[in-house]
Amino acid sequence: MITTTETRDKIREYIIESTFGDTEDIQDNTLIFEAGLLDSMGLLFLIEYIKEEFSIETNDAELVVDNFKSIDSISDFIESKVGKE
Amino acid sequence: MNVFDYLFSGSKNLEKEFVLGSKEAISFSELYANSLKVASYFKESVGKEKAIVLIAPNSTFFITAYLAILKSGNICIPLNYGVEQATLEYVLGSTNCSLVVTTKALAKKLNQSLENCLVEEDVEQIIQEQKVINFDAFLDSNKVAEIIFTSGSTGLPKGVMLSHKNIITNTESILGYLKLTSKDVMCVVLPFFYCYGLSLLHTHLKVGGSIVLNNNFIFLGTVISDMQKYKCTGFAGVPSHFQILLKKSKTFKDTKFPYLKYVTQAGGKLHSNFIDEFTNAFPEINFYIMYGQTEATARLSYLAPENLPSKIKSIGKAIPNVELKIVDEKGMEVAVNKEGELIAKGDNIMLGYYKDNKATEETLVDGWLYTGDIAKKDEEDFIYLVDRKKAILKVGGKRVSPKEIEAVVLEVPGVIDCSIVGVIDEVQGEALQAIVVINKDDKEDAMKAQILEYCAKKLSLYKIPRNFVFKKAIAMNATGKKTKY
Repeated sequence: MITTTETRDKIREYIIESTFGDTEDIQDNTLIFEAGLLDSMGLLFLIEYIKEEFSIETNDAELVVDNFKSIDSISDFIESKVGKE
Repeated sequence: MNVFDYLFSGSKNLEKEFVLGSKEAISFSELYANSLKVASYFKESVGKEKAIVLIAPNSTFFITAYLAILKSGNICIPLNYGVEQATLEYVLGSTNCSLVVTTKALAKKLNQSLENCLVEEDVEQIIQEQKVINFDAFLDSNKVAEIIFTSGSTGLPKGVMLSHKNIITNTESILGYLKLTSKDVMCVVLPFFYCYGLSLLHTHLKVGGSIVLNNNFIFLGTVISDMQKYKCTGFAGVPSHFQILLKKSKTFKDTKFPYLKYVTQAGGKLHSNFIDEFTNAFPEINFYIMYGQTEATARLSYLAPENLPSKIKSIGKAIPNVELKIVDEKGMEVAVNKEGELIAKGDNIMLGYYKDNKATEETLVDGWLYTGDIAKKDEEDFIYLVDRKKAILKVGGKRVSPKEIEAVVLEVPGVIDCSIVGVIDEVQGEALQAIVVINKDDKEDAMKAQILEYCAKKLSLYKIPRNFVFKKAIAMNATGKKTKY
């Protein structure tokens, strides 16, 4: 079973790799869209990544800011979905 | 007339909300009062006819500052909040801009010292304390109201100078054919630093309608629920918006939008298949195909929904107050079904490019704007775009110069040659493909990672190619030129 820490690490690693961001600049609570780290296309790729890595489908109703605003919220969102499935 | 007075002429006393939304809302009368105070501040502290750069996501903060700059008689330069550091420095330097209005978060990201910036709290304070001063009753409407920087085919950004009259004329024309009323509510996902987004702000303010701001279109759940919650009657998008709704959303086509009367699409070609898919799913919603460019304030032509079934590939006909012609290289109008360059005339055509007489002379000839688009007309005068003359691609509705990106990729060690081309993309409409020539011993994956990393440092996100084709250099001739790869 994947732990919360592992989920968070994977998401953090993905975001740092795909945005070429500095590790110091991206905290788990950094607002990744407001900070301009990801744009619309970036989120589409992230959703694809979540689908492949965690086998989680994101439906339209879940595509809301609160689920994706930071590494913390993305991890929480994945955890809540894993718990249900 | 100042465009500010025109926009508020019928709406300044309205108590109803102009901006609707869960995050923030503001009424017409409050927006009018606040922007007059901020305009007074700009007039007193900056003067007039000075450049003021505005960088902020769509918000009441942006709208207040934008309107205030126009009213104060200064020149607004709205910039993409993803602007590259080098472009920002270039714009600030070339326009002698002494004041940047931006958010605190963006000021930090863009390395701007807060001393030269006016951020949210400063504007709040001005609204609390500033007294409204007198403004000149008459303003020459040919004065520059704003400069919109857009990618030029040479790679350097070009500043399109738009006058108060340009904006007033184009707003009137758009209102004329869309027939908007104070009952209209627009779901705005287009940024206001871009002419299509600004046209939504102008038209709805003028007519006393409302707008709902949604800055993250990709959060489809929020966009779709906002459209229902705020009873949006209109939606405006570029090709990628429609493609994402149709291809990436699992529920969009089955969702009911009882209030939505019409959608508009501009900012590049949306393939007919998608338009068919949309109109089949929503036969009761009017679909307007539109065409324009920043140099024309925003809009030049539109295809009326009733003509869509028979003319789906056309960009329609000229909007009111605009004349369109298709001409050959000598400037003579070509015959029906013959290709030529599309040229436009009207009071919405820009004053010229900022500090670039050569480009202005090449683009504005005898009062006609040479659009750089190759087009033809059918027997019924409907216009069809065929090709682009200028080396410009459109990605997600934004203009992109291949030369600018090629220059960056070529700086990566190991890259021998690079050309950037547009390829058809299911989601973005047109996506950037980099064709990169590398040494035969270099690994493609490693080169791709290096190029992406370098591009991420030098270019805005939307300018970074996502698609790569590698070619290996095999031989050089004696002069070092590539002979084969």
